Amino acid sequence: MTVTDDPRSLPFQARDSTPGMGSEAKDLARRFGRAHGHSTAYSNASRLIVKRALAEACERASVEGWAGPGTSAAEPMAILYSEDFIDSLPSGFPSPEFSIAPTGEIILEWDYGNRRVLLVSVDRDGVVSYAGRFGIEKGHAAVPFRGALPRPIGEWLLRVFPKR
Amino acid sequence: MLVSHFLEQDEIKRNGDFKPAALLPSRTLRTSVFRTDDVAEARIWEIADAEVVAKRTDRVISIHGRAEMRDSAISAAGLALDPRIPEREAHADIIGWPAEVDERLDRALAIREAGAYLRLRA
Repeated sequence: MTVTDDPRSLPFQARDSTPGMGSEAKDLARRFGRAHGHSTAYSNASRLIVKRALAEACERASVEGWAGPGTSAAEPMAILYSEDFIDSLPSGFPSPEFSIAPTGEIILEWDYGNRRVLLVSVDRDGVVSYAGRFGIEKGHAAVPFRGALPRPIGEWLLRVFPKR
Repeated sequence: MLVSHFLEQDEIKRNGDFKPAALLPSRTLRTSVFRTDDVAEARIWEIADAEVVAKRTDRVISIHGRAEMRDSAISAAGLALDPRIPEREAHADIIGWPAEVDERLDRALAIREAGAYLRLRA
């Protein structure tokens, strides 16, 4: 996987008050904000809405076997790490769609069509796995989540978001 | 061979596609599908109700669509089809899923790219 230095035009702006926002996420948010030139606040209310969507997805997968034989319930620690992951996203990030993997991980998806898609999985150990498509490029890897948005995932998010 | 993975409402996206995560495997690294070659459309949904909905004991579910794909799309993603599960009529499994989660995500995307399509229930 290669990492681009070309900022996308996105409605993001760094906000130091963003909960759990690490230096790399701040750097990405600055790049987004610089490229776009205006702000869209990713308020605490917005985060609550996103977390409510996460909770609804998890409720469906709250018992063993929820998706048939051999499927695991959503892992409580994976849910907590996912909430922290949401908090690590810079201001203005569009909301992902949520799924629960049959093995208990939380899946976040950003899909903008035409091979602009990123899937992120958060597991109970705080390992964040991802797979992305951007045109002819594709990549996948796993990185530890330590409270700040992992840079490879930030770079993939930059790629898949459509230019405005 | 044509196979279908049945989908609940929240596995269908707002943009009219299905979520690739719906194809991810269970703990046994198998994804349940049904052989739908030469099966009439109405019969496919009967299979969904009999083999998926009726056998769910943890909650009441309904099937709103299916991800339909050829076995060639599965093999193009580096996976395979175990075509006959003796105890379950018309049942098959997608097998060959890797152990690493990021690779599974990649394979799920690859199946969709290789030709897996959402069919909504009328």
